[in-house]
Amino acid sequence: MFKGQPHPLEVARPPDKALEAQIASLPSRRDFLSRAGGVALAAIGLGAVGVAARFFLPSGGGGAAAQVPIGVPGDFKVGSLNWLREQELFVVRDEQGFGAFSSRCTHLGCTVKRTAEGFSCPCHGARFDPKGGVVRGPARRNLPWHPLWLADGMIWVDLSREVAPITALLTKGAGA
Amino acid sequence: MSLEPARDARRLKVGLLIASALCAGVLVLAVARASQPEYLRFQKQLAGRIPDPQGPIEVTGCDGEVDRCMSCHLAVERAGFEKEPLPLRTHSISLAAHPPKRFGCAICHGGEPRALDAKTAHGADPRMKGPHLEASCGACHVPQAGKGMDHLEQGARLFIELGCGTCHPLSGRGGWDFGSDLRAIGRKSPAYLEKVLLDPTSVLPGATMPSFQGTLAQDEQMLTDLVVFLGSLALPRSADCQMRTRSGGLVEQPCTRCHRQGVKEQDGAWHRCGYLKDRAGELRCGNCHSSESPIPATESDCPNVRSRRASCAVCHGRAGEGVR
Amino acid sequence: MSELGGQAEESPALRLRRSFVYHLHPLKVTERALRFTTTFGLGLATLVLFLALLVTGVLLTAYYVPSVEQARASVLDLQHVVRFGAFVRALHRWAAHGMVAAIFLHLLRVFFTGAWARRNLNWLIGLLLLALTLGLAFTGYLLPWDQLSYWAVRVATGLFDQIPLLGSVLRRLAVGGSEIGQAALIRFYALHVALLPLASVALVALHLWRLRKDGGLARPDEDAPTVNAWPHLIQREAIWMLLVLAAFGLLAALVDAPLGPAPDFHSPSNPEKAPWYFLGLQELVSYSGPMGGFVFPLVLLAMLLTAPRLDDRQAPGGVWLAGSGARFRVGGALAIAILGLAGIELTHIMMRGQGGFGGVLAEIFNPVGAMLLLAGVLGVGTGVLSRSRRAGLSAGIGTLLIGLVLATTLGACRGPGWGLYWPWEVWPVVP
Repeated sequence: MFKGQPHPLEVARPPDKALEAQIASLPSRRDFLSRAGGVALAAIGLGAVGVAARFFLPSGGGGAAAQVPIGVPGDFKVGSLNWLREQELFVVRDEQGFGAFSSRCTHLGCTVKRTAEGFSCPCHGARFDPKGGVVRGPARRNLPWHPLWLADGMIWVDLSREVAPITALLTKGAGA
Repeated sequence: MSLEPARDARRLKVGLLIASALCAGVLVLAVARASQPEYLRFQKQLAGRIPDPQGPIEVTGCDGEVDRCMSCHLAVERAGFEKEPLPLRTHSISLAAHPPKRFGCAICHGGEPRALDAKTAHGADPRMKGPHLEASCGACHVPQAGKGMDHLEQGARLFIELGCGTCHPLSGRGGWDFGSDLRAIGRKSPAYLEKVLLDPTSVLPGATMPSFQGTLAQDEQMLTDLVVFLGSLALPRSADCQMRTRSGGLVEQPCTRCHRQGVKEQDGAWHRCGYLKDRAGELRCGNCHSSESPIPATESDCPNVRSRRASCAVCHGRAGEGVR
Repeated sequence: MSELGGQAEESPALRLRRSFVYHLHPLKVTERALRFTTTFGLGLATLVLFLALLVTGVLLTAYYVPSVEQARASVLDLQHVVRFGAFVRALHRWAAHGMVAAIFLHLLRVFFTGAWARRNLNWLIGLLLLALTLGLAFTGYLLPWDQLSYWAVRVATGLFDQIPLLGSVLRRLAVGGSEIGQAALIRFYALHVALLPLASVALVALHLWRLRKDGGLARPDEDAPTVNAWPHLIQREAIWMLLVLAAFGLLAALVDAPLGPAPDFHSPSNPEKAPWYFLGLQELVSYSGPMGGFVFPLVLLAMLLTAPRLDDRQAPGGVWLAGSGARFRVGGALAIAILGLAGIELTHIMMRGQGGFGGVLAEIFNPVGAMLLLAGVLGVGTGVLSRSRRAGLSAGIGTLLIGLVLATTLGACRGPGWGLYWPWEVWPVVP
C-alpha cells in the first residue's frame, strides 16, 4: 500500500534496515498457511501414490514351489541331457552322477535351445557351452545349476538355490 | 505463390467430395467382404439337400474346444455325398465310433477349429489329411494294424526294427547311454523329423546319430510311417500328462484326452489342487499317477494307476501334516 | 467471409464451426500452413488414427475376454463369427501400426524443423504422447495372448531384473506375481483399455490447446496470416483425414490382422521377434541388456526432453535445420554418423563370438556404448564448430535416431539363433 513512498509518520525516523529485513524475512500468516497447505497436499499426494503402488504390488503367493520332484533316477540315462519342460530345467547324468541347470537365459529369460556347441538363445542370440557357461553375450551370467537330492525314491530339485556346475551322485534326503 | 480464394474453395469442395466418396467406397467394400463368408457359399450349394443350415455350425468337442469345421464340411455324417467335391463330401471312414458332436474334428485333424476360413482353419497342420493324420490315433490308441492306422502301426514297428529305442529312451524307459528322450518329439514338424532322420548333422551339427538315408530314402513310405509314429509322441495339442508304460513300451498317454471334464466331477478336492496343473492350465496327471499297464485301449484298462506319494508331499507335507 | 459476419441465421454447421473448430484454429492462417509439405500432415494423421483406434477399440471390448484361457479364442471368434469383426480388428491393428509410424515421423518433423523452439510444454506433452503410444502398442499386442504376446511379456519383464535393487519389485508390479499369467494379462488389459487411453485423450486435448495458444504452426516471423482458415485450412484438413481413414480402411478391408499360434509357455519360437517398432530396441538389447533396454532409450528421451532448455534463444522455429546456421555441418555430421554407425555394426558382426570383455566392461564396450559415444562426439563437435547448440542437438539426436533405424534394419535380418540372414536367404531347419 505504501510501497514506493514513505508513510508520513515514518519520514522523521531513519528506517531501521536490519529490522525491516528481519520482518520481511518472517513468513506472513498467509504465506505460512499456503505453504503448509502445499506441504499437506504433497503429503496426501505422495501417500496416495504409495497406497496405489502397494495396492498394485501383489503380496506373496502365486510363485511356483521352489522344491519340486523331477522324476526317478531311472528317468535319466547315463550320458544323457534331458530337458524338463515344466521346470525349464536341463538334467544331465554322467558317470559322476546327476546335475541340473536352468534353461532360462540369464539375459532376459527366454528358453535356450540346444545346439551342437551347447545352447543358444532364440531371442537375443546369447550362446552357452554344454555346461551352461557363457560363450557369448548379451548374457553375462552362466546358466545357474541347482542342487538335487534323493527322497522317497524321487529326485528333487531346489530351484531357489544355486550350486557349482558339477554332476554328483545323489544321496538320500540330503538338502531336504 | 498466392492463393485465389474462390478457385481454391471450389477445388476443396471437389476434394472433399472425392475423399468422402473414397471413404464410403471402402465401407461398401468392407460390408461386401464381410457378407460373403466362405461357409455361406458352401451352404448355398447344398441348399435343399440338407436341413437349412444358415450360419456357422458349432459343436463342442470332448476337450472343451469349440469346433466350427462342420460349417463348411456340411455332409461329413450324411450318406449320399461321397461324390461331392471336398468340403461337401461324406467323411471317408465311418464316424460312428467318433461322432463329431462328441469329439469335434480337431481332436484328430488339428488345425484351428474356431476359424471359419479354410486358410486359418487348416493352417499348416500336417494332420489335416494324409498319413500324418494317423499320428492323432496314437494319442489315444495302441497302434494296431487293420484299424485305420496302418501307417502308425508300421511306424511303431520300424521304430523297433531300426533300433531307435537302442539309443533313445521314451519317458526315461528303454534306450542306452546316448540319444535324447523322445517323449515330446511329436511337437516337431514332420519336415524337421524327416530332415533329422535323413541327415542328422545338417540340423544338429556334431550329432552322433547315424543317418538313416540308406534305409529310409529307398522307400518313401517307410520314412513317412516312422515320422507319423514319432509325430504321435506327445502331440502339440495334447496335455503334458504322461502315463508310464512298461519297460520298452512305446507310447505315452495324455490322460486329459478323455479325463478333461471327468476328473473334476469324480474326485473333487484332490484334483483341484493347483499343483496338478502346469502354467498352461493343463492337468499333469503324471505328478501323482503312474501306470504299469500298457496304453489303455479301452476305458476298463485305464484305472490301473497308482499314486506317487512323493509328489503329494510337495504341498501336503511328508506325513500329510497339511497344506503348506 | 460473409458467413462470419452475418449473425442473422446461423446454420447448425456454422455454429459448430464457431464453437469448436475456431477453438482449434484462428480465423486467419498463413498460406504456408496450407502447404502439405510444411507438416506432411503427420500430426493430423496421428490424430485421426488415434480417433479410429478409440472407436474400434471400444467396439472390440464388446467381445474380447481378458482371460488366459479365453483371450485367444475370443479373438478367433471375433475374427470369424462376429460380423465385421475381422474388419474392425484389422482396422484397429493397422491403425495402431500407422499411428506409431506417424507419431514417430511427426516427432522427426517437429524436431528437425525446430518447431519446438520456445514451446517447452507442448514438446514435453508430445514426448509423453509418444511414450503413451508405444505403451499402448506394447500392451495391445499382448492381449491376443498368442506366442508373440507371451514371449514379449516375458522378455520385457525380464528387463526389469537387470535393474539393481528395485528390479524385482518393478517386475512384480508389472506382472502381478512372480510368474506371467492371468494377473499379468488383466493388468495389461486395464492399462490398454483404461489408463493409457484416458491419459492419451487428456494429453491430446492439451497438445491441441497448447498448439493454438502457441500461435498455431511454428513459422518464421516474416509470414503473416493472410488466408481464411475456413475453408482453406479446415477443409484441407478434413480431406486429409478422410484420405488417411480411407487408406487404412482399405488396408483393413483387404488384409486381415494376423494372429499367432497359441503360446508355448516353455519354448519361444526361433527366432522370437518383436513387431517392427520394437525391433530396433530388441537388436540393441541383444548387444547389452541394460544399455539397449534402459541407457539408450533414456539418453535419447533425456536429450529430447532437455532440447528446448538447451536451445539457442534466438533460433527460429518452423524451418528445416535452421538456426543451426550450419545445415552443411549438421548434414556432414549425420553423414559421418551413418558411416560410423555402419562401422560399429560391422565391427561387432565380425568380432562377435571372439571372446572380448566380460562383466561390467562388456556392458560398456559394445555397439550401444559406441553409438552413444559417437552421438556425444558428433553432437558436441557440431555444436562447437557451428557455435549453435541447436546444430549440436540435431547432430547428436540425429545420430542416435539413425542408430535406431540401422538396428531395426539389422533386427529385421535376424533368423534362427539370432543369426544374420539376407532377406532372400532361406532359414535353416532348426530344432
